[in-house]
Parts: sequence; structure tokens; C-alpha cells
Amino acid sequence: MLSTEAGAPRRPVITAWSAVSPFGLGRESFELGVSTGRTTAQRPDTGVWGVVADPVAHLVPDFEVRQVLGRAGTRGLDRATGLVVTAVRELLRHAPDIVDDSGLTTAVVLGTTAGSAQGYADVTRASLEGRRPQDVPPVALPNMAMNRAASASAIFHGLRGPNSTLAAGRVSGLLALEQGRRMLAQHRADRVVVGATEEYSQARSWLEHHRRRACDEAAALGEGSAVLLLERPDGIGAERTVLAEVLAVTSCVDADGDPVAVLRSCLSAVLDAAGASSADVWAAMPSSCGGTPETGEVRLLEDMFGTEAVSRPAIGSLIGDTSAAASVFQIAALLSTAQHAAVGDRGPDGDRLALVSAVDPDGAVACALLRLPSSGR
Amino acid sequence: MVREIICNVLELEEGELSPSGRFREDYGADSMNAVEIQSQIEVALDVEIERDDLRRMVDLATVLAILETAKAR
Amino acid sequence: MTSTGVSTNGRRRRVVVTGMGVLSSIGNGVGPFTDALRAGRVGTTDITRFDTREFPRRRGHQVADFEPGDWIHNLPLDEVGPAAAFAIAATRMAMSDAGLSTSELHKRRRGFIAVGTTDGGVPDLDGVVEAVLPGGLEDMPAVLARRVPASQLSVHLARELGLRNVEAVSIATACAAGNYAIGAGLDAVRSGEADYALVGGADVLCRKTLAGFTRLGLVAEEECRPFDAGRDGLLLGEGAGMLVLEDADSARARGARVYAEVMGYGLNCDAHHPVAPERGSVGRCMRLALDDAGITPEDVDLVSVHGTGTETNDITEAQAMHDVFDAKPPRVTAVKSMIGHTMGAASALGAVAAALAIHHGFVPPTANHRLTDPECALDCTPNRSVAANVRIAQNTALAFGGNNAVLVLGSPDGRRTPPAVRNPREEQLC
Repeated sequence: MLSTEAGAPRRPVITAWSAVSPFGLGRESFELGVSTGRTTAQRPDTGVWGVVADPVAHLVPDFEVRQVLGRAGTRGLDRATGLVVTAVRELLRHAPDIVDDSGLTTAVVLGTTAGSAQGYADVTRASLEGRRPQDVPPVALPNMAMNRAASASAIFHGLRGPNSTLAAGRVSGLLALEQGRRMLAQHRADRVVVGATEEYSQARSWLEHHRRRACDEAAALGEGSAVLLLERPDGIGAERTVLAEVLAVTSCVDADGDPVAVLRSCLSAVLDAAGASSADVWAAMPSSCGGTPETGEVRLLEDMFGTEAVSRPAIGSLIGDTSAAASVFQIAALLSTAQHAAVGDRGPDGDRLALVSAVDPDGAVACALLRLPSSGR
Repeated sequence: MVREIICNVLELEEGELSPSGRFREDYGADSMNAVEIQSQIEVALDVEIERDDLRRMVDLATVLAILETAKAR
Repeated sequence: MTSTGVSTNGRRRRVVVTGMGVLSSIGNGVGPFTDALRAGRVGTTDITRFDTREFPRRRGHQVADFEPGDWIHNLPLDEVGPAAAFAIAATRMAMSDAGLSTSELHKRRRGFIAVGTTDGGVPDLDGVVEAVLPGGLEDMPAVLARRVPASQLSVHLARELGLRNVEAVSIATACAAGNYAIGAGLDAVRSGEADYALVGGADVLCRKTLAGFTRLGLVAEEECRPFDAGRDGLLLGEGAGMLVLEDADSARARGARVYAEVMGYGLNCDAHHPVAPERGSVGRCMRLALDDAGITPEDVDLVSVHGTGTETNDITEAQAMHDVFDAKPPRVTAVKSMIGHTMGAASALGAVAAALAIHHGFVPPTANHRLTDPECALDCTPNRSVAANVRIAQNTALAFGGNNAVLVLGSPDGRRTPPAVRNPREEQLC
């Protein structure tokens, strides 16, 4: 039984979120896509993407950076950056006040795999093929640092607090949540835009094709960006309500080639930290999507929390493997699902616990436990 | 050719660019645009523009004058 | 093992540096690095890590005498990219310097790992591009493709050391990443969430970065001369700096040698321009760091500056210092003059230099200096190190995208006592 007393949250809270996803632009299209369970796979148009390794991929429809964001300041902006700048723009529609104080106390923490792999590859190729090695397109050079997406989000939206970019593979979103939580705890910011971004590209297609071991029946790649607004529970902005309280985040490293065992101890720890038991968990959202190698992850979640908790559609099966962005999309999917769930489908006090887990093939493992209050929206 | 490059980088219509219109003050250019103009001209005309010359390239007229000397070198 | 968001009763633990590991063009290991800083040695050579023959300027700073197999004992060597190998080696050096074995770390409850980087696995991505140019994308070498994700710098490090109960994250905030990583480690240990932190930065020279900086006109012809009137840019470098952080009480309990206390740090973002720094915002970041450390500008004895040697950086950084230090900035040192701009490792190595200044009582010089630019007007400790009582040092880092990070280190006992005999362990490293 959950020992944490219900009522006013004491831990950081998520008060807004948005996404640019294969379902389209903004939160509403994401919610609609999740509720209808529509899959978004399509054959990548070689006229747009060149020759790619994937028979199908999950692409953000009609996303051309300069058409979506306008021409000011978008010259040369890479797709991964364009996706998150747009997602933050959509987020600000739900939280316009966060730049009111000149943005000084709003932080940004974003996860990435390696920035825009396509952008780097294009510059290196230009250097190798040009008349001189420095004949690379200058307009691409601001993209040549992995912090481009986070810093461009700050420039576009006037967010001048701490601005961080981290890389932790598929657990990036959960570690971004943890870093954001720590920034709030240490009073380095009053609110944090936590998110991640991943673009589809020819370079990513082939890199992932060669990264995946031959025996893997890997899910199709997906792209997009999801962002959450994390605030201190005692200082949430006007006209916002608590959508989720972040009870605990924990992460470990699989040093022995047994990710399921590591995830099991991670899950126990996150429950302990929240004073919860596995029976309290209403929904559990694994990182693996249909057919990925992490079926062990799903089986473990079913063992611990029951098949019903894991029965909601894994977001990865709808929007593909979004790599660094995957775990933020998992949280977004839980928030969507909770909103649409039947009123009767709740714990005794009306609150529900939801769990997100993530396993990266390189060895990072993480999970987070959220409380979804009955009063949220 | 040079006019076309500058208009392309500064995102101007050809008619908007005057010989003495200053890139920075009149057309909102920044240091990255300057490098971009330099780069495109170097590649298109097969010339080298020195750093000191780049600093003096503040409008179309100075760019054309500097290119004359660069080609003479 | 888990953070809950509940603070440890508001008590902030003091956090200290007990070990440091270094890979740089002027020496590997903290002992040789210290000697080289003291001597003002400059590590410039031609860059040979990739083919630079066609580049107009190809001077830079490379790590010499490095064999990954000397440091990587548990992971298959071909799984580990060059920057991850640097991070592993520098961390092993730092642990040995701290007198900590891996088995001792295994006994601790919870650890934190953060490796800062600009390029992460991009040197291998360069290799991928070069390999596919003739034949096409299906010829991509899988070994290199697998090493591209930046997360591996921290995750491989944890796996190599067999550390399971750790938060392992790579921080990709470009040229300020080292300070970000150290700051993140400070927060994790200060709050009691972690018992130790292995933090710093690592980067390896690559074509993409030299091509980009050359195109921007930022590469110097011969040497990097920060704050010099005749400066003509930066020189790229590679390297790693990793630090062991522990809480002061447990460091004292085990009799550890303490280099410095990590007193505080500040982060902010200019939100102004993709590549040019902004004076007011840089100054604000310095004030955030001094506030976090609980000190005033007058308390700062030394600033280990960002000091890249480019026209814009040096003027903006000097002006911000004049703003913050009320026109009387303390003495500064620009170690990039000696080791080049080591990207994600740069501010970690700057922090190592600052900690050594505090511990040994000397200020490393700004090398290659001829005449200070009057627009900068700083005492940059030209060319020769000087003996000085350094109690508090600020370490500044500015990155593309306006990602600023400033760290404050202090003497562990509030006053500096010169060590009578140098620690013999330092001399044995590398």
C-alpha cells in the first residue's frame, strides 16, 4: 500500500507538456493518436531522404523547419533542433508565463544521442570532397555542437536559466528529468523544460542499421521531440494544475550483460524510495516497442505489475524507436492515457501511480515513478 | 554572381541590396553571415579572402573592391 | 540508490577533490601536468591524428604516448571509441591519485559519473563518412558506427570499472561541458544522493571540428596567445581531465589528500547568439557561481579563464570580469595557451589547473604572451608561473550556444599550507 500520504505534492511536478511527433504537431494530435492507437509507419520517400536502410519509419508529417518556424533565425537549423524548438513553442502555449521574468529562472535540460548525425556527416563529407578541407557550409556550423537544440530553444524562446544537454542513450529522457529535479532541489532554477529530440535522417538510418546486431528484429525508427514542464510543487504557475508528481527517478548501469536483473533492482529501488509497492502501480510503460530486443523488459514489468498495467499500448509501437526521445514520449503517453482513462479505473484515493522504464543497448537502465492525481485536469 | 550570393545569404530580393547598404546595420547581418558570404565567394570565384579583408567587407561596394585586389594577387 | 527529491534536511555537505587524472599535450598524469604548468611548457605540434596536409593551419595539441590497452582491462577494446578511452584512462589515473581502488568504490552505496564532451563519438563518425565515400552507405564499418553515441563516454566508463549503482551521464554542452559535469557531481554529492562522483571531460581531435573552426577563421597560425594584442585565434587540442569528488567528512575519515573544495558553480544561457558570447550574461553567470559558493568577488585570488585566444572571446570575457570584479579583476591564467582548446575537456583541465594552483601555491602562466591587449587589461601571468597563496580560484567556461558555466574552487581549510613534500604518488603516474 502506498505510504506516501495523498494530498499536496511534496516533490517536483509536471504541469504542462507538448510534443512534435509522428502523430503531428502539438499535444492534441499526440493525445488523439495515442487514444486511437493509430500507427504512423510509412515508407520513407527516397526523393526526400535518399537511399535509407529502413523499409518503414515513423516520420513527423509535413515537417519542414522553415515552414513551421518561419524564416527568422532558422537558416541552416538542423531538423533535430527544429523539432524541439517547435515542441517548446507548443509547450509555451500551455505556460506562457514562464518567460515573464526574462526567462532567467527557467532552465532547459534536453537529451540527445549525438546531436544531428546527418549534420556532422554532411560537414565531414564536404571537408573531404571540397577543393579545400575548410570548404564546409558555414550555415551548418552552429549545428556542430550537441547543445545546439537546447541553446537554440533558449534563443528562440528567451529562456536564460541553466541550459543543459545530456546523452544517455534511450534513458536520456529519464536522466534529463533527474537532472531537472536536482536543479530545482538545489534552487538553480524555479522551473525546468525537460525533454529530448531525435531526427530521422539518412545518416541515422544507416548508423542504426549497422549498430543493431544482425539477429535483432528491431522496431522501425521514429522521430520527434517531447517536452515537459517541471516545477517545484509550492511554486507552480497560475492556471496550471499538477498533471503528475515525480515521486522518484533512479538509474543504474548494466555492467554484467544482464539488463533485466539491473532493471529489477532499479524498479525495487524506485518503489522503495516512494514508499510504494508493486501492487500500487496502475500503469507501466516500457521503452521497448513491438518486436524490439528488450522483450525481457516487458516480461519483467508484467511479472511485477501484472499484465493489465502493461496492457496499454507501448508508445514505441505507435511512433517507432525515437532513441534519445523515447522515455519522454513514454511519459507523454502515460499523461495522455491517464487523462482518457475511465474514472472508475483508479486507486482507492483517486490517485494513480505510473511507472516508466528504459533500457539502452549500451548498458544504461533507468526508471521513474509518477503519481497522477485525480484532480489533474 | 557576388550580388546573388549576398542576397541569398542575407535573404534579400535582388532589388533590396544597394551598393552602400551596410550588411550589419541595414540588413541585420551577423558574424556568421559574414563568414557565409566569404565562404560562398571563395568557393565560387576560387579566391582567398584574408581575415583583415573580411573585416572591411561591410557593404557590396567594399566586397567588390576587395575582390578586385584579391584577384590581382 | 535512489533520489527522491527530498533534501537531506537542508544540510549541504561540503564536497572536495581528492584525485585528478589528466591527458594533455603537456603531460599525462597529474604529476607531469603539474610540472609542465609550473614550467609554462607549450605542447604545440602538427596535428597528425587525421590527415591535415591540405589544411592551411594545422598546428594543435595532441595527447602522446597513449595506449588504450594500458587502461581498458574489462571491455573489448574495439567497443571503446577514442574519447571514451580517454575518459577511462583519466578516471583510472584520478582514482589511483585519490588512493581509491575499484573494489573500494564498489563498497560505496551510490556513485555519480558525468563526462563532459563536445564531440563524443564524432571522431568515429568522421571515420564512417570517410569509409562510405567510395563505396556507399552499405559499406559502413559497424565497429565505428556502434561507437557514435555520446552516452558511451560515461556508460562505458561505468562498465569498465564495474560500477552498477551509479547514475552515468554524458554532458554535451560543448566547450563548457567539463564545468557542467563537475557542477553536476557537486550537486549529487552535496545533496547526499551520491557518496562519490567521477566527473570531468574528454574529447579527441577530429576533422569535422578542425574544418569548422578553420572555416570560421578562428584557428591561429602558430600559437594560441590569449589576451595578447597580436592574438590570431585558438589552437585545437585533445585531452581529458577527470576528478574524484567526495564529501569532506568521509575524505577526512579515510585520510585522503584533499586538493581543493568545490565551493559552488553557476550555469546560465545567453539566449542571444548561436556562436558569440554576451558580456552581461557571462558576468551574471560568474555572480551565480560566487553566490553559490557564498563568497564575494574580492575573495577570488585567481581566475582560470576560458581564454581561447580569439578576438571576440577574450574581449567579452575580460569585459565581463571587469564588470563583476569592479574593474579590479584578480590575476588570471589561460591554460589553453599551453594545452590548446581541448573542447569538452577544456574546463575540466582548467579546473585541475585551478586545484593545483590552490594545493601547491603557484599560478600557472599564460604562455606565448608578448603584449597584453589594452582592451582586455588583465594580469594574465605572462609566460612564467609565480608562487602565490591561492585560496579561492574561479574557473570560467563559455560555450557555443551561450552555455556558460563557472566553477569556484577553494582551499580545503580556508587557508593554504604549502605541502612540505610533494606526494610521491603523483610522481609515479605515467
